[in-house]
Formats: sequence, structure tokens, C-alpha cells
Amino acid sequence: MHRAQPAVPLPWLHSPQVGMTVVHATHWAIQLGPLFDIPTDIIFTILRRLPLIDVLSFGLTSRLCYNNVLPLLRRSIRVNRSSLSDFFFVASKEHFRADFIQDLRLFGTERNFLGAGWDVTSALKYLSPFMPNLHTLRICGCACVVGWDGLDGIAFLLGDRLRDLQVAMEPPFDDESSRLTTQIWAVLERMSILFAKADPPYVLMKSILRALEIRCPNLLSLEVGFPNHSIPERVRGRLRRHGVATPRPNSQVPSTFFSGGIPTFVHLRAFHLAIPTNVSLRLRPEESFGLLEFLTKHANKLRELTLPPFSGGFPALVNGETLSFDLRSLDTGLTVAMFLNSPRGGGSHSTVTKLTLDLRHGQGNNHPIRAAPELQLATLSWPYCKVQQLTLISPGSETDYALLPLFFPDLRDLDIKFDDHSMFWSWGLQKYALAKNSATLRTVTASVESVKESYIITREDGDATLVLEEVVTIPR
Amino acid sequence: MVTVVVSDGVTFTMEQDVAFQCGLIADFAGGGGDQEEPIPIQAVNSTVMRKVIEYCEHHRNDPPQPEVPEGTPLERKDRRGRDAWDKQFIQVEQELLFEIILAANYLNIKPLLDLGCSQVAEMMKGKTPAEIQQMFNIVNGFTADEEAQNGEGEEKARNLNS
Repeated sequence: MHRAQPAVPLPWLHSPQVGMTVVHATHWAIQLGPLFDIPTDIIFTILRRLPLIDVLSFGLTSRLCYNNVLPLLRRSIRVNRSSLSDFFFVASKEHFRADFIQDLRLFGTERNFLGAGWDVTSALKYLSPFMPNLHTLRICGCACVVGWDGLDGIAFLLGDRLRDLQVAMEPPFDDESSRLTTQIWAVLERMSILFAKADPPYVLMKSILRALEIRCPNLLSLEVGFPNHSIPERVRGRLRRHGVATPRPNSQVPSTFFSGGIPTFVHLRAFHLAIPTNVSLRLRPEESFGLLEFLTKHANKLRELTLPPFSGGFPALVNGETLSFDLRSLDTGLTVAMFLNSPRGGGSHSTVTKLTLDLRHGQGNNHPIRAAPELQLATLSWPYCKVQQLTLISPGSETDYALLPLFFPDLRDLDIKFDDHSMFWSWGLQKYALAKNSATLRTVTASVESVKESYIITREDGDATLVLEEVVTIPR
Repeated sequence: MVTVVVSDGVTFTMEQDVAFQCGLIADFAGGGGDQEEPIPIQAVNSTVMRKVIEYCEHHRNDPPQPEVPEGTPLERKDRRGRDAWDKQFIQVEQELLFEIILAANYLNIKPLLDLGCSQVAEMMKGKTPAEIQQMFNIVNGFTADEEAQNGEGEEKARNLNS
């Protein structure tokens, strides 16, 4: 039996329409009835006078209308900066309604991008009255970099409606944050700033963040991106000719960016700091307090944290009850350990009960389990770590497992994944010392490429006994 | 004076400032003096032409309106400002209304076209798809399944807008 084709999904309900690839609807013939035998352009002229709900009603009156009224209802649009002046010409030609637009993306890659900020803000000044429903603005491309004034202008024009803003920004040459007016992004929840210039005074970026701290009272997510070092040399040269220098690989981000703390955003749930992998960011323990301070300040509400690849790289993620760190440097490991164990960080992170430490590719003493003296001090000073389930991936040969209960006083389940058979077999004796030192450990599982052993720990009169529960041979 | 002859053979003579509100006639006459030969207007009948001339005579002394992009606040304000005479003028039978719109489009009289379109929009405002179908005698062409799905979509859309 022939099954009827389902109706075209309603794009305004399910997903935003993107792109400038518009349905060219100029010549669809309407034969809806004797009274409605009028040209398409006139029908669109009528529909331009109707609110969204009535346009939708008209769209649902017939299959023909349904398939042809949709272009009017687009909610997302991508516009080249150079086309902004023609926006209304394009809008009327393509039959979409600016007042329905919720998501505007400006892009530009023209060679001559000087004065882009002025262009962007002046265009927005003209467009913003016609876009009362606009809540997302993404300005991207090297031709759309804005400065202080541009940022301020956007706040002035769209501060009452933008919930999501992505902007490429030219860092200031001095602390000009005081020049910002008191414009407030009243409803902004998500902000992404890509700093677009090389060798910027990073400490000034902090002043930008501090400015935003006051002006974005409802920010939930903040992403700060640093220059993309993968810019090809020919593009780099072109940018240089326009007076915009681009960073070279291995330029250093001074740790002063973190020292003294990063501004506090009251409601922030997610913070992403993106620094390209070929920027060397070295955080010595004494310099990492800025980051630590940031982490601890936001521990109560921050649920998602992405940090840059420090000294060879790890992404860190805080997500709900699970913390997962790929630790490849002593400095970062220490920072994280201090955070976990600090009264504020650990105390407020009492919900963090599962921890995975990925120690692959660690070199020398560059991971926290090996950095026992420092970690031990940190742990003993602030014994607040609540981790109960710990997974160690590829620990080194010098790891002292007997110290783990000191680092993780509430540890119940330990899972070690070795990448070397000799370490797997040599660990055997250490597990007894580990079980003896811990009052809480219940299970220990160790595995290597081809075999997995599980132990259950029982205690009687203070003595721990390891009972081999299962040996599984893992097929190759 | 300008003379036109419409599709049913009726001839109308009007003063130039009335006739030249029709872009088509102004173009035809080339902006010159009196037109001796009647201008053929084949797409408009006498009933509609009478209404068009009535509109043009009423607005013969209006100052020229600046071009305002459609959908802009200024344009919406301009629309709201149409006078009571216009509102009364456009209260006609549906069939005549669409014929006036078509004539305004053909004769290139933008204010009259706007007036007609606004009137149709007013008629559609707040109506359900079924009511619009009935009002304009639209054959929907949807299957029963599609009708059901559209009903859900409409409900969601109304919730989004409420």
C-alpha cells in the first residue's frame, strides 16, 4: 500500500536554517483558488505585513504555500560584511523577513579589512532596529575584527537582546578598559572572544575580562581564544603588511595572565581557554595560583572547564561528578592536586568522586604521582579530597602506590591500566602495602594488554586481606 | 487630459495629475502633454478602473512619498498612518479587492498596491489555517497524515509565540 510522504519538517520548529542559499521563490505559480490567483511577489508583499504566527497559518493552508512560504521564516542568516549595505535589498529579493532573524553571522575575508570594527558597528546600527528578535551574533573572519569601540558599540546597540555573542577582537595596546562605557549586556549568556593579534599584552586581556565581568552579569559560558598559530606564512605576511602581526610558534604566554586571578563571573558554568598547542605556556607551581584562584572561585557553579595545553598539553574537564584530567606535566598536575585538596576547591568540589588520571607520555617526574614530595605536602596540608573511584592510566615505574591513600583518603575503588607487562607483574607486591595503608579501599583492579586481575579487600581486626576475585585473559 | 481604454472597451478621460499616479500611464505618455490617442489598458476592466481613478483623484495632491524599505519600522509606521478614507475605500468585496491589487500592480501604483495588500493581511490576521482556507477558497492538497503533522506544528508554533 502506498504510504503518503510525510510533510516537509517545519524548519522553524526543529532547526535553524542557515546560509544564504535561499529558495528562489519568485516565480512559483499560485493557483490556490479563483480569488487568490495573484503573483507570488504580491503574496509575499501581503505576508510581510503579517506577524510570524499568521504567516505560519498561511503556510499551513496548502501544500503549495507550505513549500513556498518557508523562505520567509528563516531564523538564521549568514552575511558577508561587504553585503551588509545591501541587506534589505537581499532581504526583499529573497523574500525573508529581517524581523524573524534570530541568528546573524557576519563574516569577511576581504584583503582590506582595516576599519572593520567601524563597518560592523555602523552596519549593526542600521540593522539592529529591524531585528528585534536577534539573540545570536557571530562575527568571524579576519575582516571582522573589532576593537574596544566596536565591542562597546555592539553592547549599545544589541545589549538588550543578545544572548550569544562571538567576536574576534583586537587586543588593546594599553589598559583602555576605562574607556568602555557602562553599556550592559543584560541578557548575554554565552560569549566567545578570539583575540586576533600577535604578542599581545596578555595582562591587558585580563582587563578586558574584568570589564566584561561587570558588563555581563548573567554570563554562563565564556570562551577565550588566543591567536591561531596555524596561519599560513603567506597569510601571515599579508596580515603583517596591514599592520596586524601574528604570533609565531613557541611564543610564550606569560603566566601573569593567571597570576592575580581571573575575573569572577557570578553565574559562570563553563569556561574555555583556548591556547594553540604550539604556544608554550609554562605554569610553575608558584605561578599557578592565579589559575587555582580562578578554579576555586568558580568551583561552586563551574561545571565545564577546558584549559589550554600546558607544557606539552592536556585538556582538563570538570563535568558534574566526574573529573577527568590528562596530566602530562608536573606543574599542571600539582595545580590540579592543590585544587582538589584545597579547602575551597576540595570542599566545594565534594561532589567530585570519580577521578581519572591519564599519565601516558609523562616524562621524568612530570606527573603528580611521581612528584610525591610536593603532592604529599599539598595533600597533607589540605586533606579534603573526596575521590572514591580512581583510575590511573599508564603510571610510571617509580610510582609509590602505598602513598595513594594519603592523596586520596576516601579511595574505595582503584583501577590501574598498565601499558607494560613488567610493571603489571612488579606491581603485585605493592598492592599489599596499599591495602594495608588504606582504611577505605574495597576493590583493586589491574590490567595490561592481555590480562586483567580483580581483587576484593576484606578487613578483619584492622588487617586487610586481598582476595583474588577474577582473572580475565583479554583476547588479543 | 489623458484618455485610456480598458479591457471591456470603456473609455476614461482624466486629468494628467490623476493619470500620472499610474506609473504605467506616465511611462506610456512619456511625461508629455495631452495624449490624443487613448492608451489601451487591457489587463483592467471598467469596474476596477473606476475604483483606481477614484483612488488617484483622492490622492492627486499628496506629496511624493520617499522610498522606504519594506518591513522597516518607518514603513510600518507609514502603513499605520493611512487615513480613514483609504480604509473606507478598500472595504470592498473580496473579488474586487484582488482585482484592485492586480490592477495596482499592473498600473504601477505602489500606494494602492500597499493598501490592498495591507487589507488582505488584515483579513488574514488571527485566523487559523482552516479559516484562511475557507475565506480564500484554498484547496489544501495535504494528505490526512500531513494534516495531522501540520496540526502539531501549528500547536507548537502557537506555543512558541504565546
